[in-house]
Amino acid sequence: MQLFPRGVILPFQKGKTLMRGVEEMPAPCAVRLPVAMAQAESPIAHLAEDTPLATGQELCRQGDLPIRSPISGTLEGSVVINHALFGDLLCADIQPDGEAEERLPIVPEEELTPESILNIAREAAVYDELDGSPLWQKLQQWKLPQSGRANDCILVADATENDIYGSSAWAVLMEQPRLVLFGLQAAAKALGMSRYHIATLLPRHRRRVLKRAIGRENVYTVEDEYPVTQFADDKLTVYRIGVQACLALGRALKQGICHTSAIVTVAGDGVPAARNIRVPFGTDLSAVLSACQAETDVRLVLGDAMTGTTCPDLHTPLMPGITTVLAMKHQPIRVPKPCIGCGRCAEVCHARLLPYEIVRRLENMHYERLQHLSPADCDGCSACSYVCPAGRDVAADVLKAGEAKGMYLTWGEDDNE
Amino acid sequence: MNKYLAPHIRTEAKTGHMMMDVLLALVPLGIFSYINYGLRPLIIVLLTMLTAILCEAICCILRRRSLAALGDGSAAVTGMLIGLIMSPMVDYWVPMIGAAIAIFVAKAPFGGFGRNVFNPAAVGVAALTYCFPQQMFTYPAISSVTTLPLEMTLPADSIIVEQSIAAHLQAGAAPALSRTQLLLGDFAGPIGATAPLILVAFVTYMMVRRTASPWTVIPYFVTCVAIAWLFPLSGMGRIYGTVAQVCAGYVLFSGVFLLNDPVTTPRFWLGRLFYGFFTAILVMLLQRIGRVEASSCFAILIMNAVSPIIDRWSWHGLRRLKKLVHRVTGGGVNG
Repeated sequence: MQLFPRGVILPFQKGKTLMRGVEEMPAPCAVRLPVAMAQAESPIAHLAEDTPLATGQELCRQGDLPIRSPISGTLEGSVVINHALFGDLLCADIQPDGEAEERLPIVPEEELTPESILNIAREAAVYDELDGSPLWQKLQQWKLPQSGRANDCILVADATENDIYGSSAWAVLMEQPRLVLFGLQAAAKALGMSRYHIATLLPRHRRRVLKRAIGRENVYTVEDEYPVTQFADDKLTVYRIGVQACLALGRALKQGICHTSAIVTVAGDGVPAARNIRVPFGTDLSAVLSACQAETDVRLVLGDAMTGTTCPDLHTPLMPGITTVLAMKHQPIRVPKPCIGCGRCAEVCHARLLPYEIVRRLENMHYERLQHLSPADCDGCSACSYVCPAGRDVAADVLKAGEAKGMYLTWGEDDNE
Repeated sequence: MNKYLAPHIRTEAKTGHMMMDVLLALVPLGIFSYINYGLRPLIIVLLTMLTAILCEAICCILRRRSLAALGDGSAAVTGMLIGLIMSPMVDYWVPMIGAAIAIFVAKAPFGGFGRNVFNPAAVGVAALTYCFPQQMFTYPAISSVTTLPLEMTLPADSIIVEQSIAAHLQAGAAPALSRTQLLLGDFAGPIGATAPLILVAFVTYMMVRRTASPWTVIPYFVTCVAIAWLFPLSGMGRIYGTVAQVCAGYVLFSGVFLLNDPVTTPRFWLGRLFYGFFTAILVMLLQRIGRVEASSCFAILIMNAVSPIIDRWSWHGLRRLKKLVHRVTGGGVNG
């Protein structure tokens, strides 16, 4: 418990989305799967055009990590696209065709060792949706330093979804709670941790159902505020992975299925009925939006309403790490008014910063005095921008100050725009 | 490149809403003064508000800004506060000069709303206190009038004049009022500053609406009451003296309105606490040793000057304290 709780309570927009469960794409779409950075040599050069591919078939390897075809179809060639978040990417074009599927060999449960679990996580190309990085890499990194302190650490499957629209983690949890728990247990075993739980903010009645399904001790209820900062009891070091990653790991271990699709919440004021939909990686998001009857003159936001990035191009492939896609019609942009000093940004800041003072020093070009306010502690949760009554982009400025790291910012930067 | 930054949804709260909350004070205080003095005080307040808005519009034009900036209501609030703090007998042009000083001297030169260092209303009142003390501090006896005439200048001998509580206290005498009279505001004084119950109710409303911060208001009033209690005036009972001192002059009015101007107060909660505490000490001190009734305006102005420092120092101090505590407790475990 904290004496002065921080954070904001956001509007709840997920009830109807949750009622619908997880839906499938109505028809298979062409897939444009990113395989490498544009500068690199094409890793799929060895594959001839019109090569038939099965779902889960290996296309190439990126380091040790296999890149697997998300759908069954034929390879059409490769193309370079510009992605809003990742820059220029080399993509493989795959046309859907047939229903062939390639699965991994299944290791019996009692023979699973930490090494074999890591191996399967890598071979099944399991991505962690929290940051879009391969789960195998994350687990390997965490495994080394924490050995011997297993009791101080806890592995948490993050199903908080405390943002405004996103509910995909909840949908996954409601659909396959046991498989998620199995995946989480396997990941904990791979790390040698004895403690693990699923941290969630599910509505109460659904939480009760979940607790009945997988056991009370495996569910941890977080505080209903944005952003969530406490995922476990105070004294434990928390390691977080996504619920979808747990599910993918569970499916790979039990059924040999590779991780080739994500469950994405499609919502926003441009979508009449928000829903959770299973989308293969690399699917064009404009196809996903039209499958959800989204309006056409919308702005695509990758990520949820509080932290998402506006994507200028609707034709963007889905990448691991995206669990919410918004089609926004209204632009929340207002002419920012001067700061009147209501202090709400400081009230909601969970990093206990003074956002208004950072912004003021940035505006007045007092760069040398910025660092006293430790703007680098900001994690960009945007709660300050959300509450600002003057409609200022406080969070963006604080992040800018944090990135400057004591360096002088370019003077007159704004004049060039 | 990216024009639309996160978050993509904002709260409905806007700057204008906060100012509208303050403007709402006009309703209860307007009714109260209408019952006491008739239409004259209402005309004073409205004229002052109009002057402030007009001056703000002139500043907008001079600074080549859109007149839409008037929509935030800050000029109207400044005008209202100056109007409410006038004597009901004052000539109409006096508060109008105050409003013009507030906008032209204290607000516009600093860059307008949100950038002013000193509270514009307090500056306006402070200037008037020095220029027109006779006009400002001559109050009609509330029991003898029901309706004040509406002429520009009231004839001096037509109205029975009474001393305010602050003047009584400065003279070292107890005002001849019962406690009920004090609490109900049945005494001579400024238009909007003589209704303790209305003011307390209104500040509670502002705290609920988060327009006023409890971090400033509560320390301010607690300290005011504590000082009045601990250092009683001679010649009256402790409780009566406390109530009289808190109701005297602009003590309550400043705590409700001038203290809660978000622009000139600290923003960090601990800074707000210190601000309320020190303002109260200064207000009570100036009340005792000062020569004018408007001492709390001067106290607020002095505190405005140091409020950014209080804000930053309290934040840094708290951070350092936390680190120290962390080192002391955490160090024991590790070492």
